[in-house]
Amino acid sequence: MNQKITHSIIICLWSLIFLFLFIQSPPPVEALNPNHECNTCHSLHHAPGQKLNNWTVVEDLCLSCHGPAGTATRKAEVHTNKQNSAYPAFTMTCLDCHNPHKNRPNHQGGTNLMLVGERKDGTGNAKISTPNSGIRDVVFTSRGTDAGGPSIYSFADNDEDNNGIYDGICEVCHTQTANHRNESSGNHSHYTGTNCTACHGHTGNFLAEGGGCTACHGSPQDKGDGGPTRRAMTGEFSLISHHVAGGTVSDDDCGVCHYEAVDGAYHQNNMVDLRNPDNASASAVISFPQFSRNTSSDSLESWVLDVQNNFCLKCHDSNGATATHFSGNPLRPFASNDRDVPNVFAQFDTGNGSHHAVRGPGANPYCVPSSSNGNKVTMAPPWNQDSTHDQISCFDCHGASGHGSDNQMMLRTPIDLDGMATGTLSTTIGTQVETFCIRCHSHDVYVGPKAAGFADSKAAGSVMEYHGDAQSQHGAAGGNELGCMGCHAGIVNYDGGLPSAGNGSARGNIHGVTFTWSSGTFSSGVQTEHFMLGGWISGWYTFTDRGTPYGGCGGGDCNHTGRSNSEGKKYVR
Amino acid sequence: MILLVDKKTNTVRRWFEIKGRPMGVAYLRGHVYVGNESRQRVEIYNFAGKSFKKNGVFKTTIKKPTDIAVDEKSGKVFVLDGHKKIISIFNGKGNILGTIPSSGPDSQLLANPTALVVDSDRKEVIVSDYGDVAQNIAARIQIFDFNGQFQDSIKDIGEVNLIGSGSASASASTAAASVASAAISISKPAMGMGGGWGEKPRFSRPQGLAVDNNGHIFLIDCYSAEIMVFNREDGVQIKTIGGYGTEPGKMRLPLDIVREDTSGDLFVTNNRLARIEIFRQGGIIQ
Repeated sequence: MNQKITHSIIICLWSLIFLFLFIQSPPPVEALNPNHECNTCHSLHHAPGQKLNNWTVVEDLCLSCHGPAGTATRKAEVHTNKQNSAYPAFTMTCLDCHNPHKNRPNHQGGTNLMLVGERKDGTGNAKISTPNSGIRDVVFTSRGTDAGGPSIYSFADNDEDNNGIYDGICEVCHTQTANHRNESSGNHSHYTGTNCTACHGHTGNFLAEGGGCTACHGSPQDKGDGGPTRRAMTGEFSLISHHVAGGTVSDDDCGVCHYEAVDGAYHQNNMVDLRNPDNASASAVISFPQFSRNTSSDSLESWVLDVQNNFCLKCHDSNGATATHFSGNPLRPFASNDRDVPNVFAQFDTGNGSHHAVRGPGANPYCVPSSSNGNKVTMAPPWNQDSTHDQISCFDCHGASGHGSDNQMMLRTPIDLDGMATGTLSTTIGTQVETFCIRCHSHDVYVGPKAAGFADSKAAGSVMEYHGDAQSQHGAAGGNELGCMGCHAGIVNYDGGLPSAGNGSARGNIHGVTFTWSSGTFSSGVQTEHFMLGGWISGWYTFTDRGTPYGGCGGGDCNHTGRSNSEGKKYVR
Repeated sequence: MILLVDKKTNTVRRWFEIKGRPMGVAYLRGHVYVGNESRQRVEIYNFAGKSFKKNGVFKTTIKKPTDIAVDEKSGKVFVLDGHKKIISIFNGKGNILGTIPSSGPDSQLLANPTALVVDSDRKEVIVSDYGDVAQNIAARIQIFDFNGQFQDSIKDIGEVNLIGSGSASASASTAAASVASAAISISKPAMGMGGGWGEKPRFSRPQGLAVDNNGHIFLIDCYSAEIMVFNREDGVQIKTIGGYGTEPGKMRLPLDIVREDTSGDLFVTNNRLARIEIFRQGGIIQ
């Protein structure tokens, strides 16, 4: 064939090829800003790794600039849920929400910000392919209140325009969360007026974070996935009794006890994660879903013992919180502490003359039917179930919340310990004490049959018959009515120290105490038992011969001369 | 969180918390230097995570302490400030000694630096730089001496030849071309994936760096997920290690690299896969 004709045919063929390619090429796209020019992401002739139609590859490309080591100002991460979430694990990557090429118009007539939404249909409007709700319109034209913009058409506006469509970027996918779903069910008032990203940041996989512990836990919190709801907590630190002096807890204070404040992976894992005060490693963390102590059972739950032995008593010991203290002083682990932590561990020493059975089962023969007490059942349910002297826990006396309580000493029942400290006794106080003590020690034995009403019964045969009725020296008429604490000087000594003879204001210790009267005193060499410390007035001495708990006065176990004490009733402590 | 990882077993031996967001980290003579982005400063800790009471913080504010490198011989600490796009040089106690670079044309400065390494033998600071598309600056490795003087640059190739050679030039964004020309030459540097027709691609997202004492530079490209090895003298790429994937030896968004001198082992942070990739003796270049 003629060479010239051949050349022309070739040129025509190439022209047709180029014309075909031109017609078939996609419409031109615009880059958002100079940092997103075509060749920022696309290589005309070569792309290492896999092609850009693989969204995982695209994710890495996006994060090469918007990730932790990238150069972009706006940082991001994929949207995922926490480990241990009640829902199946999911990940939504960049292209699920963003169109990297341009801002799309939306069905409300505006133009979305932040490249939110992709063109999915002929409308060209911004839409998202949701996991369970198909392709939906998405509207995002305001950065919201944090950026000085309106809340409407920002992150999740609770159908503020009343068109029945929940099309905020954060709500358009949600179908099972407790808050901000893409339809009317569920809660749509979760922190309305606040940008979602104030707590659910892009760099944190949109998991709630930031603002510190106290910023969120001043109000009830839940993850919206059916897991435990956490009550509002910060206010508990300003109740009548509380950990953390000063009444205001800080985020650092939270980290003294809670591992969630140390490692975010433990946050929102549907568990409470407590730190061992002497071991900062994750392996020593004590985890449980929600703390409880079934006080109707004499069987101590495993998590109760774990918390008691590896949390409470690891701080309330001789060296305090050696690994988790914040203040620099293990004995004052919270920054605002104004006193050393009491050494409760030593108080419960089973070798102490008097002690409650927290560190192990007890040995007091009066707490079980025995020959010492005429085989009587002296304990209340559940401690009366058998003849063993059960071990009890901190949480049988103290409430389950370690933050604070409306009761003194975070006890389960209210007691006016301050009133008792001044030596002021009244029926009311005695009654409160009795209410606390008879949680475990039989009401019938020590106060009187309930049928008679325990407040004033002091029924015949009960211990209080001789110590609280109108006829006795210690009855109301005598003006010297005593409660349990009148003789069993069980007031916790704040500084953990022991009371000393001659100290009219000395306090006993309901946890446990060993006290021996010094030489020269009436009870020289006598070791206290049953928390009966006696007093400095001569004539009082404690009994060690384990007589019946309700022996008579005047020659019985609690012998005294009857002489008065110039300081009033304090001596009985 | 700062983790101390055993090189032989690749297990965490110790860790301690950082209040804030740590970025760069380096170790020298019992001191762990940590760039804290949240607090905009460099902090000094011991191995137990205790801050030194005296001189525990560099007094100079570093708004974005992207990376830190140390020179064992002089005890100098080099801190890459990703915000100011300079390197601040300190002594071990945190007293500032100078900055790099001092001045010069764009080709001798830093556009979007991401990481650095110190070559103690050559007394050079080597910096990876994303470049700047808007300023027509390609991704590159910038090399300075300890006095801040620009020494050299290893660039992404940039030039692309589609068909043979030719003189006509066209915009890279259009598909049509003159049929009269038998070649297309794209003059704009390929900020994305560089490389020519039939040529081995270079880097586009340079991140962590390491050096050996034989004049080799190890560069992480976090997008192609490769370790690229270059000759310091001529900038020629002589080896590629790793690659994109999830199986052992492959990576997704690797960010930093450490080379152990005695063994030649390479340790790479494999970000998306949340693991450290070890290339035993991968840093021995014959």
